[in-house]
Amino acid sequence: MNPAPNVVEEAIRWMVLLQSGQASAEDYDACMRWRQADAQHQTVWDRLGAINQQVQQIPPKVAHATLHDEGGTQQRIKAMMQRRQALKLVVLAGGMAGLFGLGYQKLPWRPLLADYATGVGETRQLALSDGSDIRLNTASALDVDYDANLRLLRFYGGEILFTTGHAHGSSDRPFIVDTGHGRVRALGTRFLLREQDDGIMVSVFEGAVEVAAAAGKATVPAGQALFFTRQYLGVAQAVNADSIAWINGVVVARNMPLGALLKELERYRHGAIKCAPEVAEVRISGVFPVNDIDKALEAVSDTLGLAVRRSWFYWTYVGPAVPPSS
Amino acid sequence: MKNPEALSLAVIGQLYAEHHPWLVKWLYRHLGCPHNAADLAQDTFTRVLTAREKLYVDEAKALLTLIAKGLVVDHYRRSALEQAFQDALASLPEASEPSPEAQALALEAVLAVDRMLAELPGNVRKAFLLSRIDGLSYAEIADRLEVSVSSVQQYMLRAYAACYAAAYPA
Repeated sequence: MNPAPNVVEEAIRWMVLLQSGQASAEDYDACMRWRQADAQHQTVWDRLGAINQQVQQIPPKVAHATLHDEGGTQQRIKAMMQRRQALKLVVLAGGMAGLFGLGYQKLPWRPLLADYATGVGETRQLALSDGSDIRLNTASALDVDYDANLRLLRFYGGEILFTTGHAHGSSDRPFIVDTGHGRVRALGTRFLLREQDDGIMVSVFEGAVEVAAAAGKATVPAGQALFFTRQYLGVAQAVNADSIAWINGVVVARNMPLGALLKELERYRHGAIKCAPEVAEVRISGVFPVNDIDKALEAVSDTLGLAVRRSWFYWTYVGPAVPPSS
Repeated sequence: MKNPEALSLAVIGQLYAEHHPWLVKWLYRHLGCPHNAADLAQDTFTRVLTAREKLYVDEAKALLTLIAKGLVVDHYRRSALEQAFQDALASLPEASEPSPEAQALALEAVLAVDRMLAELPGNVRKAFLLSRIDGLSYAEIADRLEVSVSSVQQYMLRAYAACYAAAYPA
């Protein structure tokens, strides 16, 4: 059944509010509550997200040359109609050069060969044959290896949200993600894997997962998160609901140390963002867009009265407006 | 013979036999390529057969021409956008050139977004692109388009509504 027009309208109003740059953490929460209030709300919200995602696949320069330039398009049409020549379908050119460009510098070499990968600042959504929904955040990579008995995936790094599907009896086939640090087995579920601090953080939002690493096994229920490495299995703690805000294109900070926020924002852009040690512990709250890190940094520095300095190439520094003389 | 009911196979066959030859010629004249003409003729018939509007066989020729015209315009528009797309890619520095997969997805996205925004006024279209692709804030878009921030919000509401309607028709 198609969602009612008023639901579509409400969803669009929420989306426009969150993008306006004037949304508070409270607005974000209120939007979250609205989405959770009704399955149809979430459906429409996801559809708007899919539209955003499609639009964002277009690089800005390309958009300026095509979609922005209606006059240019009309001229080209006119010229073509005058020529009325055979129009061959344009075959996309390009070799491997793009793959070795800056887009993959934050990934190790292996993901170049992965089935699915995102570059820095990209996100991607996959629908697998069993109905599973997979979302890759920035600089992430995944292999999918399904057979008659097993649904095996390999997580190479980054951050990926898995929502397992149950199409045509696939629930008989275990859904297992191999992370290199240990295996995560889904028990009918929605969970997030994130590579951090040389290990894996698994956060469970629905159902449960079983983690099997060299250090032992643990079952993580919904609402809990667990950190593990090859040698270490942590203790379950409460899940941070803001950890999947990236699905909506934002990072949510609630009383977060500035250093941690900058580290988070750094993942979405090429180059390093350095925080002056004397302000690293300053607390900040807000919602920051991940598709424009410059804007986010501007918002941060305005809020805290700091300065952003950019080196000519790779580094961005955030620190006190007047650096201490030494 | 005015028959608004669903077309029977016999009628479809007759329609095709009678109208396909001139339609292909007509399309060839406008496109200059026999393959494209054959493809679009096929598309035209598909549209007629799946159209929700009731078809009066008497008016078949007029209707086919109308649909075919629309398809020719679409075809040129797509080609023009593809051309501009390729030119834009060629002007990018080599290091930032997207992978072939990313290029294919981006082109597909350009064509899809163009269709979604097709009916919108220029400012609404621009506001949406500046926000979603260039990542400008509403205030910056307002400056750029010389309108108020609340107008930008209205533009965005309208653009999303159009995108939604195009992507998820009721």
